[in-house]
This record gives sequence, C-alpha cells and structure tokens, in this order.
Amino acid sequence: MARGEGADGPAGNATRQTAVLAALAAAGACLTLDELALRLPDLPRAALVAAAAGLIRAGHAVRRERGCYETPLDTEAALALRLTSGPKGPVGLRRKSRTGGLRARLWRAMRIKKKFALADLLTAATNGREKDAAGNAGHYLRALAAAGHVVELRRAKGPHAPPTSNGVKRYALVRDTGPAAPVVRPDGLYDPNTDTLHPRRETTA
Amino acid sequence: MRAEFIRTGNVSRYLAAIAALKTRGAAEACLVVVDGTPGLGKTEVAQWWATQNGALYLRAKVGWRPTWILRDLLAELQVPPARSHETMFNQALAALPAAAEKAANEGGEFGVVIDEVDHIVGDRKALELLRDLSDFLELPFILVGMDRVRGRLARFPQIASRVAQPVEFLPASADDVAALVAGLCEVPVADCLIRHLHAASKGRVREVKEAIAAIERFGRRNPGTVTLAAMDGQPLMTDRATGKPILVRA
Repeated sequence: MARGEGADGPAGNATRQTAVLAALAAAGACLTLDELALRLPDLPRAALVAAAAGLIRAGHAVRRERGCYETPLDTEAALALRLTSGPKGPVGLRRKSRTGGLRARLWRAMRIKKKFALADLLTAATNGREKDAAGNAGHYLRALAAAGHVVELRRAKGPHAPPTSNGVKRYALVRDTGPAAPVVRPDGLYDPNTDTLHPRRETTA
Repeated sequence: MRAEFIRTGNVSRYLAAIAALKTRGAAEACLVVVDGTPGLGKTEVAQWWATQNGALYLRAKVGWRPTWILRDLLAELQVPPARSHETMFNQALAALPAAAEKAANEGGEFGVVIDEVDHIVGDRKALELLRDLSDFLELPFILVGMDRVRGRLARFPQIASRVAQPVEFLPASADDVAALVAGLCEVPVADCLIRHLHAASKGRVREVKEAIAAIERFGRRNPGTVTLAAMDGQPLMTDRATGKPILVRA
C-alpha cells in the first residue's frame, strides 16, 4: 500500500468539494460564488473558490458563463461520487531538488527577461543572503550554455564606453522548457521539465 | 556597477500596494495598476518582484486578444492549450491555484503581472478576461503600463472598480538617487555630484544608472572621491530626446 493510502484507497474525504458539487447539482443551473455562499454559509469564501477550482480540475464542474459555475451531474450522481482529498496516486520517495533557492530564482529571471547579462540576473534574483551569488550564477549560466538552453549574444557596450572596452557578455534563453530550474549534476544538466539529462561534454586536451 | 536591487520610494509603494491586497474590503478587488512615465523603473520592479516571488510575468503585445492571452498564460503554466476559448479558460482556472500554492509553499506572494498593458487597455474583452480570472480566483493581477493607463481604464467601470490599489511611479527623489549611487556605484561620489546627477536625470532611473556607470569609469581612472568639479565637462548620460550626451557642468 503506498504511503498516504487507506485500505479503500487514498485517505481523506473532500468534504468541501462534495458540498459544493451537491449544491451545484441541486440547483440544476449555474450558480455564482455569491449564490454558493448563500447555500453553504458555513464555508469561507476562499474555501468555496478552492473547492470549485478543484472540481473544475477534476472535470466535475465547468464555468459556464462569466462568474457562473455548474455541474453536468444530477443530485443522485453527485452524491454517489466519492470525492477524496490527499494523494491521487502512489506517493513514492522523490529526490529533493538540489537547485537551491538562488538557481530557481535565476532560472525564473531568465524566463522573464529572455535576453540578459549576468548583472541583470543578479539584480533580479539575489536577496543579499547568498554566499557567492556571482560565482554561483556564472557557473549555472555556463552549464546552461553548455547544454544549449542559453546562447551567448554579441557583447553590449554602453553609450560612452571606452573604445578599448569589449562590452558586457549577454545571453538569450533559447530553450525555455518550463518553470522548474534545470539542475547541475556531476554527469550533466538534468532538466526536470522534460525529464532529460544533457550529458556533460568531455573536453579533450 | 554592483548588481543589486535598490529599494526606492517607488518600490516601497509597489510592495505596500501588494501587501494591502491582503486586507482589502471587497474580495474581488484584486487588480493593482502601476503606471508612470517611461524610464522610472516600472518593468524592472515588476520583473524583480515576479522573480523573487515565483509570480507569473506576461508582456502584452499589439493585438493581444483574449485567446492569445490565454495561450500565453497557459504556456507559462506549462499547460498544453485546448482549442476552444472556454476550455482554455477552464484550464487556466484549474492551473493558476496550483501555481499560487507552489509559490506560497516557497514563501512567495503569487500574482500575475501583465506588463506593457497599454497595448490592451482599450480592449474591453481582453480586460474582462483578466477581470474574470482575477475575480474568480481572487488572485492579484498587476497591470503595468505608461502614464495614462489609469485614466483609460476609467472608461470601463467594471474594471476600474476592481482596482484595489493604484501605484503611480514618480521620478526618483534626491534620497532615492543618493541610495542608488550608494548601493550601485563602486567608487566614492561626493554629494555635490549626486545633487547634480539628480537634477540632470530628472529622476529617471535609467538615466541615473547610465550616469553611475560614467562616474565609475571616471573614478577608476582618477582615484579618490569623484566630485562635481573633477568631472566638469565629462559626459554623464545621454539626452533621450536628442540622443546627445549630457555633460557635467560644475
């Protein structure tokens, strides 16, 4: 039996979702949040919102028109449905992400900015509590570039930069695979968004 | 120049507006409108806040109609979009709470930032879509645009009534400029030059940062505290209207 499961399946009854579904089914027409609140005065509004969102996610209700929600189920079918809370499947051991807070924020900043210099990422992503933010960020950026998620653009020089200045290195995020920050591992870069490992390239002398 | 985020008066007002949403009277009043003239740092602040909090950040575009908005939103949420508008809307309703919960678990304040909202501020259907999402989920939507956004939103009372907190970005004050110089400049700068910088930049953060870079380059070639007199005649920043350099005048 997987962790979190009882003898009959996942533990926990979704009592709030059950109440909202029963109210929608009894109405036989779409109800607004205010109308739901009148029918279920014991439920806080935030709970109504969360329950309705859960029912939509599970496919038991829809938003039929602006601000109005309904279920295709009749009362009997709605009450016969056993809605459960808790895990929907086996809860196995998952490796804890080793991205750390800074790299998650750096990845977020890259996804927001699309094109950036290292300083732009540090300004957006650091919170002053990091040990070596610039070093950490530079290492992460190089790993992402080696895996092809990021490419280097031409260097940018400011308007009054000296003629001998090479300008600032800039990058573009060309492979935005999703919100989860890729993880640098000894064997390469693991992207949890695509469940893909980009092997570290061997450098030859 | 140091890569740090400096909290100016505008940043404090922005954060206060987000915080005030928690104690708002009307549950549906979840819109924050951030506007101000270009160059005051609105986008930088919005991007910083979204990065720090795990909030969503979208940029409006010309012709950004409701279906396109939903596709962009679902792309950010990593949800393959359905074909119909209604189904995509329900997909967004289902996915946004999960994103909010994730941000909350990581200690962030969730919301959806819509930058460059000027592109859609005349489009009733696009605005109503954002209102619908914000209304139902009671999630903050932060609309960022240029200085006439609030006035143009007033044409749509249903939207304007949902604006819990307007935030007008103002030119950086003398204290703000001093904080920016102290936080970002890697060479010591005299007060006389900071005052001159404040006046020359007219409080525009973009220009202030450009000037800080110029002062740093000068300071590295001329060790010691950089003064107004020392930099007399040197280029400080670019005049955005003419493209010509603005020189320091002692």
